[in-house]
Amino acid sequence: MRASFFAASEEALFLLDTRGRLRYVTPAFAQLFGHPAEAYRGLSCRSRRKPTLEDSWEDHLAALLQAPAEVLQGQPLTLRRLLRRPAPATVYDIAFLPLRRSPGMQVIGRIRAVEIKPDRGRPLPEGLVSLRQQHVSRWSLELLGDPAGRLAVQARLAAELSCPVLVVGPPGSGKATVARVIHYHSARRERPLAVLRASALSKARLRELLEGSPGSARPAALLLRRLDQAPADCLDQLVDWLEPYWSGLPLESSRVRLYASLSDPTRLPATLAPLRSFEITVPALNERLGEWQEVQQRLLERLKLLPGPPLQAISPAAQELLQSYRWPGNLRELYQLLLEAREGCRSGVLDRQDLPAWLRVTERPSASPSTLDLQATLQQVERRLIVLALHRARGNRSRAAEILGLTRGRLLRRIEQLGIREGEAER
Amino acid sequence: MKRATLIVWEGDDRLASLLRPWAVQQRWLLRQPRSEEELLSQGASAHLGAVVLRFGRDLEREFALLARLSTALPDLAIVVVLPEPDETLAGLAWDLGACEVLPLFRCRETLVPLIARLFPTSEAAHVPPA
Repeated sequence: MRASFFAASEEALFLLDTRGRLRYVTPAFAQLFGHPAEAYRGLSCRSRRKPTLEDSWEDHLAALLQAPAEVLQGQPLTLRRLLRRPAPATVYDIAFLPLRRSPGMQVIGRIRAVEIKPDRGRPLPEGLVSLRQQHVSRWSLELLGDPAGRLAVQARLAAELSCPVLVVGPPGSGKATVARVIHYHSARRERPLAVLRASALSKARLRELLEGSPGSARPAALLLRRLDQAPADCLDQLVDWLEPYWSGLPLESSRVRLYASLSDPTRLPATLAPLRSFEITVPALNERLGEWQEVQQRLLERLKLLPGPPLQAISPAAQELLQSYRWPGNLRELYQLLLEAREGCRSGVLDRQDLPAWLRVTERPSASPSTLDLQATLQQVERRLIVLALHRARGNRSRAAEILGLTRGRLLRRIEQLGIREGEAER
Repeated sequence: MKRATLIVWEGDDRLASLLRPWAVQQRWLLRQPRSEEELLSQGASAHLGAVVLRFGRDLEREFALLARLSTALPDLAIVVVLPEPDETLAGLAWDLGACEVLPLFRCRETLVPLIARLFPTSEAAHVPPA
């Protein structure tokens, strides 16, 4: 009876048995996926593994038809899922209807292809256009310091070109800002720049972004942050994608422009050398002391967007103290410090005593960019990390030693040698 | 002690319920702010964080919130969830600072792996400089 019901149905239906295997499919189902009905029978749809692009179409179909846990517990459910193989990728709506049968649960499913019409070219409402303009105008060349300086000149030149750009510089120095400034001054400025953490990429997602896929947006430019943290298969994908740059042949103008950033350029694999067609180095904050006022003003403006006590200015004494520190974490570290110091500042003007104790008591060598006292810098960094660990461990030295990966004895010796006082870690 | 924080901004509990088991397992704080100010405050106090913003009720207001959040807290990883695939809106979300844009129907399968990849376990366990 069940077989005749399935044979007569005009809908694309399927039946999963209690072990999650395909028992029946209707002719409409067979037609939808392009194989005779017999080809699907017995296909196990209870895999725990997500198929990759290298897997067969059967694996992808099995994942598509797999009943979710809620359905196996007796709850009907409708889902929208993507089938990547066979290409092109297609979106389906699947309704799962559980049929209680002891032991286990059979499931009837109805599947329909969904036509995704990407809204390519659909204009944005006026309010959103204005929001974008306002936001994009923030990425001015002024952010890069002296307009005649090396960084600004290189950025202007990169904006004129369309080759890949590699932005290198210490952590927190503003590499993504440089890439954004270049993009929003280039010919592609009216089209989007996607800024992604390389560690968050999957091979399939990277392919979608670079080559496009139905129902998936493709940016005009892509910045991969911390490229050295990209999964190995994504780097392989990039190697393939960069291959035409080795040949020097002209490339389509619609090709996504690639930006990549990383702190240590020596970690860039040789196979990604085309990324070095245009390399920009962003200086550390302590090499930009000439721009200190502008940098500080921009960070204060940014802080005003957050709820909480407003911070209007920084007193000269506090500025002197801030400028004398080396800022190994660069702009990111300075902003984080202002964010935290703001909480304790009631007057709206950040003064010396509003700054954390470790910054006030540490004796620092001159912050002149020409001074490169490695020993003093390392001691300063070590001291800071110990104070932070003690703060995090709420003064518990054993716990702080654990956080730092030291023995308790070694930590106690370093605390003494560096003159870290009781209570210094309270702020 | 500060913990890595996952902030979910939506009208109901749909995405939070997807993310909750993972957040509990990873010992992340899962926050569901009820106002924009609360969202910004929670983002500012998260020492390492990701924000999931589900859009679809009032796009102008939601995109303005995205722009404010990404400007004030540029190190937050912001994932925008759109009700339907929409290239124009996805492009706008990227321009305004989202680090990833997903249509709602793909969240069930891709949101948790995406958040997990944003912060490898070693990084989430690390305390960055204050």
